[in-house]
Amino acid sequence: MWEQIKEALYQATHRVLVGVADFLPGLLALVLAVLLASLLGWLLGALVGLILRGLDFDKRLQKWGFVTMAEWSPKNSPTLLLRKIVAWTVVVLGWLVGLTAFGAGVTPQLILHVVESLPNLGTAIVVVLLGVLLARFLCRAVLISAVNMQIQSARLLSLAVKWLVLVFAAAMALDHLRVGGDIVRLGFAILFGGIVLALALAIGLGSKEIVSRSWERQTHAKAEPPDDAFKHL
Amino acid sequence: MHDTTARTAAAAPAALATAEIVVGVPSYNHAGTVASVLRAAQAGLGEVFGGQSSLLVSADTGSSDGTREQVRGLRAEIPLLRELGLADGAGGAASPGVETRELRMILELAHAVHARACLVLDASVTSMGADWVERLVRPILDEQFDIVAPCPARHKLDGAIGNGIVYPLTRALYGKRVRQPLGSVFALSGRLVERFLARKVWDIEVSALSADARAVSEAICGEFAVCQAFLGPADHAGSGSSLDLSSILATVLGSVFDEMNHNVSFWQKVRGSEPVRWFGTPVEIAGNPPPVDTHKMWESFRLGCRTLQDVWSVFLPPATLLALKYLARDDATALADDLWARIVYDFALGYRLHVMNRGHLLRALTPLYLGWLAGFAREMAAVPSQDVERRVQQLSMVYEAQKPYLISRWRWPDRFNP
Repeated sequence: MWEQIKEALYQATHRVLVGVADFLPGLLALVLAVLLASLLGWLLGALVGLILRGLDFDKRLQKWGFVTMAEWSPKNSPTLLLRKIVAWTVVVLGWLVGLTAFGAGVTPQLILHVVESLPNLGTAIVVVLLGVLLARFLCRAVLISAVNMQIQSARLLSLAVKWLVLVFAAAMALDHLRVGGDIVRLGFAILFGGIVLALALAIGLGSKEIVSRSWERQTHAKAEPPDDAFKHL
Repeated sequence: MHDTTARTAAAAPAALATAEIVVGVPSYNHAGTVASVLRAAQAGLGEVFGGQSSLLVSADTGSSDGTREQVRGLRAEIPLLRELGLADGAGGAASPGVETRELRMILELAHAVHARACLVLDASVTSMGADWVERLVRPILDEQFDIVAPCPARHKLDGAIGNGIVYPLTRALYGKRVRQPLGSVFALSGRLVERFLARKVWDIEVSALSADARAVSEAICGEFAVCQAFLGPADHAGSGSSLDLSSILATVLGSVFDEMNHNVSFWQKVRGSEPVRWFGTPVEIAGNPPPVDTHKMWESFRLGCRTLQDVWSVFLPPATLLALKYLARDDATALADDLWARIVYDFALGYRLHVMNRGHLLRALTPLYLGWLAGFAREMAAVPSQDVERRVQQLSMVYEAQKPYLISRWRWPDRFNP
């Protein structure tokens, strides 16, 4: 009886020790991979930062007309943003390597999934970035034009345009990532349709007199003298 | 650069190897006015320069409203008339600035026939007199000037973009008091034509609205002799492209700021300004000027101050933004001259640094311009034309006084950045 208990304890201890012995190298490899990746990420980030600062990247970006990119992330200069992107990419890669070493069974599938999703993710990021740039450009264009046309709600109009483009870009990105499926498409269609309907109702009901006056002005434009006969040139 | 090889053979007749004077009329959809301009030019050439060989040239590559047919119909009536343009069917681009190409064709012809003077007229003018030809060409032939800028008679508040921005700015930059750099007609000497062609001044597409300002600044920077001539009133018919105020501002100032960037080494050395010789006598304009709705203009300015602060803050310094905020809030009625001059200089710098889309930047000036104009028009409403002229000269002196501010910002833009 005592022998059997001893044997059971021995086997249990053996199994735990073997388990720990199997687990420890993987854990150590994970920790090492993450530490090394963090160090490498920081070094590469610093190197990228140095190079971009040497090239005067922030000012060049402004000269090329990408002011909106700097405004999009006002606390981070474009150089800092790129530096962080590089560092975090290396850290994430380190985690993936560490996880592969840690548990060979699950992680290859995870890595495969991540790698397969990368092109879609990249495209989605580009779509969102372009959407943000376009939204800011159109927002400013509408704001200036509306003020020059003396529309009192110029800011509201420009914000509406900005958010319309942003929502459109976000819906496109999510659709590309296959996140949300039909809900995103349906949600966007409802939102967009709602905005158009609201505008149509606003014009049809609220502003019908303005529209009819404007229509009359256009019809009789040739007969009437222009409002502003002042010669600016 | 545009291909002008498809030019019609009617351009330079073989029999006429040289001409003393070339009068060119670039046109683009000016069917309603081109004939009267050509007739007036013909009369002017015949009356005054009958003894000298001359050419009257109509240049048109893109009109679609029958302008070219109008010109062809005048061939029998005006024997001097020649046509320049692309061969039928070659098609001209219908875009703003298309007249630059016609302008270049006229200069090339003037150079080819060794003209001593080349007069460029505006096909949209409805009030051109035959005397314009003599007034503009005589200083070149008799006094050896290289460019004659026009000074048409106008109502006291007309030409506010010229009065409030272009004249004071070009005067402060280049040091010559050319009163109407946006006069829309000008005369050039043969050697200045040669210089413009050699430097490919007209190879860049610029709008016809600012082609004259470009000619004047290029001539001053090349140290050519500049003078100006008084003319009668210059009424313009609406042409094919009708532009709103912000588009006009963007077109004109875009070109002026481009010139500024181009000639930076010249204007940074210039201090003060000197008068430019006048020819002729000023012509008084009859009738009352059209009424100006200053209240509407000031409201546009206030709306801009409430709404466009975010846009302006990209290139206007905080002190200016603060001053504008107070102006919009208080019962103020005008922008101070020094504030206005600094704003124009800041816009020029923003344009140079490309701090945002240049079209947006230039259009964002419109409410500020209307604010300045409202104050100016209110102040000048009840005073005679001579006082308006004095006031414009006073504003120009403020521009000159603020020039060190421009130079500092130009050299060290970061120092002022908000």
